[in-house]
Amino acid sequence: MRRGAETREEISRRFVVRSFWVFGVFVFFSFFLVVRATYLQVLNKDFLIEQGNLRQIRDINIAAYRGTINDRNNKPLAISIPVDTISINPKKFNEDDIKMKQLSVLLGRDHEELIKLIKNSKSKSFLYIERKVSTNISDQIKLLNIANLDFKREYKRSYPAGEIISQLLGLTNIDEEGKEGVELQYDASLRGIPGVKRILKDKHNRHIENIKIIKSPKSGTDLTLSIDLRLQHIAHRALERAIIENKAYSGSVILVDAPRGEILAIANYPSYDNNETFSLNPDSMRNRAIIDMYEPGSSIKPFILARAIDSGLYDLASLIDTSPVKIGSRTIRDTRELGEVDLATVLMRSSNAGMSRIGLSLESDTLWEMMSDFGFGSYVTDGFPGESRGRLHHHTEWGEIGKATMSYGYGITVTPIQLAQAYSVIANNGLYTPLSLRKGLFNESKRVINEDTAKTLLSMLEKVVEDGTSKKAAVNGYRVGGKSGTAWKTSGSGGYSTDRYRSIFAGIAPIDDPRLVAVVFIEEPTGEFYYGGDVAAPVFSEIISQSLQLLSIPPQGFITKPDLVADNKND
Amino acid sequence: MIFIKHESRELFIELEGLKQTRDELNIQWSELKSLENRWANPVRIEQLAKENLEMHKPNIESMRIYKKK
Repeated sequence: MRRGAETREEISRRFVVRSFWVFGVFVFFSFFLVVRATYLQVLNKDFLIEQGNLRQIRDINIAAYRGTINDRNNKPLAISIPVDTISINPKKFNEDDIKMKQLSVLLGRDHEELIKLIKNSKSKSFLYIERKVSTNISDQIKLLNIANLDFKREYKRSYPAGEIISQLLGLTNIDEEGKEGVELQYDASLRGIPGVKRILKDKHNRHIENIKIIKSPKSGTDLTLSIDLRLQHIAHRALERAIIENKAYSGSVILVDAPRGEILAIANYPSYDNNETFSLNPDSMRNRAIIDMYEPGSSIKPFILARAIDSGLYDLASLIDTSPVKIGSRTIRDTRELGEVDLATVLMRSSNAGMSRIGLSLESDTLWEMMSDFGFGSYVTDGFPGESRGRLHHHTEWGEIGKATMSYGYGITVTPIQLAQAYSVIANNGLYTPLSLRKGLFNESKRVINEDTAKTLLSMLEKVVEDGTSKKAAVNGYRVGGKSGTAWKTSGSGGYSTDRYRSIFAGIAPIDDPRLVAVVFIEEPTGEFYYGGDVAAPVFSEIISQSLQLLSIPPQGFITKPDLVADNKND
Repeated sequence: MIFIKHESRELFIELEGLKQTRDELNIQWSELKSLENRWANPVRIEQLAKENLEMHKPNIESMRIYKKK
């Protein structure tokens, strides 16, 4: 037996050699492991952690909630609704998934087209499948459990009142940034600040854990407007009806709470639905009541008279010659001559010759100053986007003819909201209370005309409705006053068109204790009537009578329906 | 230390869950509010009142005003 022949010594030597080898191999591999570990844990640690995080940890934006816009009674006018935006990484996406068919059905998309879109985007690493999908649809899509489909919470603006008030509210873009109207004007406070959160994802890009909130999203601030949605609806409907009845082109209505200086309604026609932003027509998106400027025609006359009475040169007993006024080669005449009449009759019969005489007799600088104080030629809102200032020439540029024509509303341009602001001064006993689109924002008032002057003007305006050119403005049960205007529109070739008109009515109610001022502009009525007293005045009457009822302002005793035949067509 | 870390992670998950519930309730709230106001749109109400209930606006002659003493 060979083994048996080995000596003890030989055995122990072999053991030493073998141990040495085994130990050597262990040391060798340990050394290798230590080197590798050092390489990974010490030398390359930062790089590797970073790479790992890049693959697993994501910082994602959390959409912030945009503030709601409410009317004065807290009815939402613009509200953000949560929606989901669905995107994919086309490189990793398997579009042959059998469930893709159901996805296209849920999205209301053509299946073939959707597949084609994804196939064509294979070189990209990001593709929107659909933006802003309503949550009940996206919940169904989530149930399909399609791999590598990303959902992101976003918000979409919804306007429950639609076309009734679209031009005032304006629009946001797809990223919920204000682009028009109030949405733009108050964008800074409405807009929320998005937050950031850190999440963990697995290799299928599935969200497995929230690690921490790096920055909390901050919701935007809600905004309460002075608008009363009920009155807005009344104004919108009355305007729309009048425009259709009179075959007119466009129009605007403003209703104001004069003592508070708050705008209750502001309607424009044509209108649009700002929920449906795929077909936008700039013509119907414009808030004409604030952005467009017009020659006001006879509706300016009360303000010239305001200066006339305030200066002490005229009072109710003053007699005015209304025979034609000759200035250079031009003659200003009325369609029917009235002879010598008092101030109230000049306004009631809307005599252009009489007004020219009064205007010419007033000092230019003080007249200009007062017109500016009424708000003409300056901005009256607190920054509505695109607001126009109108044009009130400086008195040094008037000349005699300019001053005379301005006295009956030509050569000066105003916005409907400026006219509402100016009539509010008369309604407020001579105090200018700046108009506001926000509720409860009391701005300081300043005096423009004496209280007595304002009272005199109110009684004169009432006469215009009682016996003058604007009988159709009357409101059963209430005393109201106002002034109509019919202006020729300027024609494209310069000068005035003879068959295109603008019908205006501006009025105050109730006369005993003025609360409401309404201004109605209707462009290019082409029906049977075109005078302000026939076209715009009935709109005023309809809006005011319903508004007074809604605001629970009691009537001052019933009156019978007035005879609706205006007898003077001289405005 | 490990125990505290674990606990904090669990609390964070709970917080996230609650936040999600809050968000979902907010979502429902704004959706319902929007829906309510679409249904309560004055145009729609007026149309329904006119067509289905044959209602009309009272004119001033048919109104009685009561004043508080």
